[in-house]
Amino acid sequence: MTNDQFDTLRLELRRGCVPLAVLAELGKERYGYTLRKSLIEKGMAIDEGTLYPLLRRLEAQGLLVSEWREEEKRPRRFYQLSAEGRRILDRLIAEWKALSASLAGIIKESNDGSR
Amino acid sequence: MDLVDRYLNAVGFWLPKDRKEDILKELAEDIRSEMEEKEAGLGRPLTQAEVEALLKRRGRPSLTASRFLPSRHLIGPSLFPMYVFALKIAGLIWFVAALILPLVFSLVLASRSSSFADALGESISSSWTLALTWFALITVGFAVAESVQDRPGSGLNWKPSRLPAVKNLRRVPRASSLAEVLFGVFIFSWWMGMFRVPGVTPEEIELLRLPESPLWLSLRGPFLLPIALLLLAGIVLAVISLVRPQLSRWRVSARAALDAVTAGLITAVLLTHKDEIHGALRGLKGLREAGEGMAKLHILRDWVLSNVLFVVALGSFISCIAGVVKLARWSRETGPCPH
Repeated sequence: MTNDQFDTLRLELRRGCVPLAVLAELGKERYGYTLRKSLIEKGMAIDEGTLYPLLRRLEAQGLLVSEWREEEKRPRRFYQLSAEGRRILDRLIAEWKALSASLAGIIKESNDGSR
Repeated sequence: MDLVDRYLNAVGFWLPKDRKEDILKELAEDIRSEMEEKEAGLGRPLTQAEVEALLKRRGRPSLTASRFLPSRHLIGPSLFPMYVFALKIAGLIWFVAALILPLVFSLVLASRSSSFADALGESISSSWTLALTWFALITVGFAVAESVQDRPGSGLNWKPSRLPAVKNLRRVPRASSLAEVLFGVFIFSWWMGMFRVPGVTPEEIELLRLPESPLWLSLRGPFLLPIALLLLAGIVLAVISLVRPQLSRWRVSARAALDAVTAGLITAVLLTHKDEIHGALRGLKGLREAGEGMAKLHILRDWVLSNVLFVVALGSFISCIAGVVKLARWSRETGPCPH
């Protein structure tokens, strides 16, 4: 497998996790740049071209609320989970745990079988 | 106006008016924050080259803007394979009917002075608008189908029971063989002059008949018997397929051979009379000027006859090629090969 193929598959694998990571990070109010930095520091690299459209989509779905405020003499848009977003986040976390457990089982079987 | 403003201005060009200001404000804030952080790390303002590199990493303005827009497509993934298939079929038809056919007509039948390059140039120049029109019509048709199909829930609006049956390509439907037999018998009877109209004498029919053209006389003369034999052979093959619908290699080979002989024979007729055919084709252009009714009928008759012969020759040739391809595929497959 070439590096390109690996990168493509890795990107596909991570893409599905991004909304969950963003929702989880927005339990606390943040604006776009600090959110992106926080995600990168925690190992979830995301570029601004993905993050901002996603934030807008999640807000349009009613999962986030946002407001423009002045901070350090600059207007910044702050995002936070809505009540509906909190409920969805809890369900997504449960789903993620179940999925993670399933995958762990599948990978363990695969490893045992290949030995 | 600095580079960042120019970048934002370029991004804004592609954004919808109602969301443009809001998106650009947030994007500007993100870029300025990133620049500030880098400047704090370096302890100096960013150079023009560093700003340029920062913007370049974010992507072209149109790409950046597109990420904020809903994903849209003219023809979606479910219809795209059908769209490509339709384009391929249309392209094949165009290639044969609009490009090759006129080219062959021009080379074989037209005056000797025209070179291949001239004929090809003329054929392309007269058919490219047709190609573009077909492409546009097919694209618009599929775009309309996509807009209708792309409604919520439309993906579930289908019935598996309506899917077409799996075709057995090695089996000829009996209805098709029967139709071929009946049509063959009809054409053969007509060709051999077996039809009689009750109550009408041969003299009365003769009065209705137009003066024979050299092309027609040739067909009814030296080519009468060979054409009759080809028609008979076709009837025999159709009868065999009617009785035994499962195709065999020898029958596919016989059909291809029959098609090859038909194509060759009609081509021989066309080449023998190419001057008359050329005259007939040119004559159609002067149809308006042809004064008398009978003269017009002569021109039309020769024109129709020439075209029918050409289409029969081409159809037989294509059918022959299809038979050869079928045989080649048959040879490659590992399935049962009845002889």
